[in-house]
Amino acid sequence: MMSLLKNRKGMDYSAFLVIVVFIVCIYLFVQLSSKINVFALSVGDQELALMNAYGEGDKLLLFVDQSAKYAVFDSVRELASNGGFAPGSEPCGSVGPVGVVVSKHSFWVKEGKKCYSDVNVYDSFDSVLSGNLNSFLLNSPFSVFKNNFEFVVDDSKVMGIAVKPVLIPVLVSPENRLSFSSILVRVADEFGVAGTGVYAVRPSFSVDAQTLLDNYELVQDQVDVLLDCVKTGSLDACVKSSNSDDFKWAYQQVTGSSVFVFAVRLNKFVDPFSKDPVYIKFALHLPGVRVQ
Amino acid sequence: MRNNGDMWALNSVIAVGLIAIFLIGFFMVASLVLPKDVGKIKASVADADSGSQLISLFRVPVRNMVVADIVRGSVSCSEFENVLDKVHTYSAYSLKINGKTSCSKGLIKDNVLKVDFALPLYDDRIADVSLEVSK
Repeated sequence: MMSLLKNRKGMDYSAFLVIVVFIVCIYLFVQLSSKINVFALSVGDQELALMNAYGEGDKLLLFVDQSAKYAVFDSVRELASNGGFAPGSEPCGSVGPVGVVVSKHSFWVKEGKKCYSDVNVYDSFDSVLSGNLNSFLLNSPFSVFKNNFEFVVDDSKVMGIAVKPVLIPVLVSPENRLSFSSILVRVADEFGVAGTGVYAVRPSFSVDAQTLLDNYELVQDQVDVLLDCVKTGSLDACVKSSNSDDFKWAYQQVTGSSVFVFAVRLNKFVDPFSKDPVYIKFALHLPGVRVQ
Repeated sequence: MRNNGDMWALNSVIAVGLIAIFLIGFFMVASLVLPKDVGKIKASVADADSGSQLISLFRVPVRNMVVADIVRGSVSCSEFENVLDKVHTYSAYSLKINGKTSCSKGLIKDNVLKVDFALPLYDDRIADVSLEVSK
C-alpha cells in the first residue's frame, strides 16, 4: 500500500481525471439549467393564450345553447299562464289569487272591453324569452350583456343572435404579462378587458320548439264565439262546446263576482323538460251570465 | 502490489469508481432538480387543443337531446361512452358534475386531457362539469 501511495505518476493521473469529470458535470448542470430557464416561459405562450381564448368561446356558445333551450320552453309556459301578455303589461290588469282561484289570471275581457285586441303575442314572447334568457346568462361565469339578444320565431324553431359581442381576453401566462404591459394597457383602454388581445364572440342559437303562438289567436276567436254564445245559452254548455283535439277548456267563478277564470290546455304542446301540461290562463268579466 | 502495473491498475479502478459516482450523482440531481420543460410545453399545447375537442363532444345529438343534457340525467353513461368511443381514443375517462363523479371508466393515470366548464340547469342553477380523458 505504501508503494502505491509513493507512485506519484499514477496518483496524479487518476486525480486529474476525477477532477476533470467533476468540473465537466458542474458545467453541464449550469448550462442545462440556464438553457431550460430560457425556454420555460416563452415558447408557445401567446399561441396557447389564443387557443385558450377559442376554448373559452366554445364554452360560452355551449352555455348559451343550453340556456336558450331551457329559456324557450320556460317562456312558452310563462306566457301561457300570463294569458299571452308579458308580465306587467296586461292592459286590463289581472285577478287572483283569490278564494278558490290559486293563481293570477290576466283579464281578456273586462267591462265589455276586449283587452287582447292590441297585443302582439309574438312581441310578448320575445319579451318573456329575453327575461328568461337573462336569468340564465347573468348567472353564468361569462360577461354577457342584459337584453342582448334578438329573436326570430317561426312554427318549429326559435332563433336568436346577440346584438353586442361577448369579449373574451387573450391572456398570456402571468410570468410573461410584464413584457406585454403596453399592449395590455392599450387593450384595456379600447375594449375594457385586460389581455394581450380580445376574442369577440356573438353567440347565437337555434332551438327546435313548437311555441304554438298561433294558438292564442284561435283561442281568442273561440272567446269571441263564447261571448256570443252566453247571450243565449249557459256558460257551462258554451265552454263544453269549445273543447277540441287541440284545446281542453276549464273554468271557475271568482266567488262573489261576475268574473270567471279560464284555463285552456294546449294539447299539442310538447315540453321535453317538464311533463306538466301548458295552460293559457285568462279571466273574463261576464256580468249577468247564466252559469248552468 | 508488487509492481508499477498493479499500482496503475488500482489507481485506475479508484478513478473510474469516483467518476461513475459523480456521473450517477449528476443524473440523479439533474432528474430531480431540472424541470422537464420541453415535455411541459408540449403537454400544455396538447391540453388546450384537446380541451376544445372535448367541448364539441357535448354538442353531439343523443336521441332528441345533446350529450350536454347529461347534467340533468337525461343522457346515460353508456350513451356518453358511445359518443366518446367515436370521437376519442382513450384508455380511461372521468366525468365529474359539481365535484361528484357521474361516469367513469378505467383509472386515470398520465397523458390526461382535461376540460372544465359550466352548464346551466333547468332551475337556473349552474352545473360545474369536469371531463378528464387519459390516452
